[in-house]
Amino acid sequence: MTANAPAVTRQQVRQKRVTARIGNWLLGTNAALIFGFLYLPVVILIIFSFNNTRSVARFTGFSTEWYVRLANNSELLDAARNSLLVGLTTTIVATAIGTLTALAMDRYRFRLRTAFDANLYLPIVIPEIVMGISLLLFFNQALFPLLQNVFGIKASTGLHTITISHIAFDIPFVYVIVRARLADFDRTLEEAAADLGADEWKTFQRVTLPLLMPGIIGGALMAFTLSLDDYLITVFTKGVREQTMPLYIYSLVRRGVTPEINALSTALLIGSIGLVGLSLTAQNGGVVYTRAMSVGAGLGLGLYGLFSLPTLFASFTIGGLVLRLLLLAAFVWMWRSYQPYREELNLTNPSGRILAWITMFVTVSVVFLSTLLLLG
Amino acid sequence: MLKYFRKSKGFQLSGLLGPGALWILIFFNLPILIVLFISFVERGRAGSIKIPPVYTLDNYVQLFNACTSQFAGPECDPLLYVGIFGHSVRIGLVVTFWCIILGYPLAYFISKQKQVWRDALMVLVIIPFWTNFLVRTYALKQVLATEGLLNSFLMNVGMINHPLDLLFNEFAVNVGLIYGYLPFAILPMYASIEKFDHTLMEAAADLGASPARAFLKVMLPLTLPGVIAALVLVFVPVVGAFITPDIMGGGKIEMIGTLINRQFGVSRNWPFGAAMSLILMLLVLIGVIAYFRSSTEETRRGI
Repeated sequence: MTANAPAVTRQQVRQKRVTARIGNWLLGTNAALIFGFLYLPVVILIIFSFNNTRSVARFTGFSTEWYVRLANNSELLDAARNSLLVGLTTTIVATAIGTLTALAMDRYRFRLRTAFDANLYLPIVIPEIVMGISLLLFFNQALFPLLQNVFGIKASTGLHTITISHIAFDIPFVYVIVRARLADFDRTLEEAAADLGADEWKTFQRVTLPLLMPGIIGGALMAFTLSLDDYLITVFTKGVREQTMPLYIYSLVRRGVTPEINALSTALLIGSIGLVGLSLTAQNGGVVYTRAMSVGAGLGLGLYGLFSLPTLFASFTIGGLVLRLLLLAAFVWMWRSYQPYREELNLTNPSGRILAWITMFVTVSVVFLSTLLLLG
Repeated sequence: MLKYFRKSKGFQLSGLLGPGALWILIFFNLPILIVLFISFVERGRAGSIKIPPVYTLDNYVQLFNACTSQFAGPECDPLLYVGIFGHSVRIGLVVTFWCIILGYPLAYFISKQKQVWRDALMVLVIIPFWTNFLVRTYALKQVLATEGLLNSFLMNVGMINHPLDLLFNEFAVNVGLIYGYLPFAILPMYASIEKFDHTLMEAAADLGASPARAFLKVMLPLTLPGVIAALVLVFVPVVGAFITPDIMGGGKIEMIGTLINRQFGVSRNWPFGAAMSLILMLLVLIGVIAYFRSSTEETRRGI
């Protein structure tokens, strides 16, 4: 009996190893299938955006015809311009307000603080459609009648109501991201600044703000992406005429499947992945990446200034000149971070350096293309 | 005096908190209160509300008994709307079930890989989060379309003779929702499984437990917070979904989201839509509060 025991164990061990191998194989297959399920449709979408016929089932040859059509589609360009306008305004306001709110909630204790904190999370969790209809009812049944009856102002929905609504759902996202940054914040740095004689404002400007910057930029880019992507809240707060990119795409998607939508989707996909990539890099990376972004933004604006200079000579306007001067000022202002950026870059490892250059390149493209779209 | 005022805590606090508090109160909380108000008044001729308002509970009554509507025909089904709510909850449960069943092994698989692979695979899980939801849904739609890739592939292989109807039915909506929300399930479950000490499984095996028993008695209970988080994070948005049932269902599959949308579109019954929105919001809030009650801050931060 005792002599047999080790043999049984060996058999058991072998059996266990076989089970483990089958288990691993099943797990691997499951993983491959799921990633295939998640990514194949998107890959197929991108491939067929380059098809030279209208088919989305048989690839007949490479062409960029659909992209050329997009670039000449004035309805689409208007929608894209509206999206950018709403997105930029939303981002600026929501980032400023969200950051202030995060600072207030982190540094002060007051009555109903916990309740207000929970309230700030609500717009993130409640269904978007509920928020959409609540804003529709608010504008049409409360705010506009009030403006009409009390102040005699005739108001209607349009890009401004979309912007107001986007700000309302973006504030919580900026708040959450900046708040996370504040949670890791070392308050002794501020005390050190105060000990060295900096007043409150100077401490904020020189210590607090630069340390919070990754969170703020991350939050801003997130807000921008969410605003660019939103369909449901936009559709309930839009006006009669103006539409945004998602509204335009939705109207096409409901009608059917065409390579044109594929091309448009691909463009949007690349845009939002680029923006989110920047956001995540800002939030998790060091200061070298945020510097790369500001250098990139300056370069993008400067490039656009050069690119559009001939049009200024062709038809001179005061507005055009002021615009170029503003662009130049922005370029110079952003370019000031180039020297510190180089210094930071020398301190990072090779892979970080590559990421920093990619970050800069993506920023240049995003800034240049959106300025081009916005200003023509 | 002014200097003292500027240094006072109240002044600084209101300066920092004021804009955010005002914006959220005016453009989020107030609109929700208006929805509450409108859900208790009668509808007017043009679909909005009667002026002056006439208070009524009819909108809520109609939810539970569709035949109380003034437009109800003779052969109306009193449980029409309850049925649609139930249907949405059922779709929500089916989708959540599949997301967890498929996502848990994947999360486990990722957690067993080497660090580099783990990071790379997690990036693959996160990317769909940040790609436009509409675009992703469209991508799936074109694969499943009658003249889409899947049908033409199956026909070329010879498995089918006629294209299958893969779109505009409940199957399509379910697949679309699983496609959309699977990453939401993987992330929290991965956070839990990654923290799980795998040597505990070896200990259980040494003590004579079969793999199945060790999983059920050791691993599952210890990673349950992640599973519950996945359940909430998938179920909550799926119940209120609109875009997926609209695009993948082609108007044939009714869920709460599409039903609410219709009240503000063709049906033009804003008060009834408002009542439904409130019920949906309550459903979702109950889920979220239950989740917060059952989890600690630490487990949530892992997500």
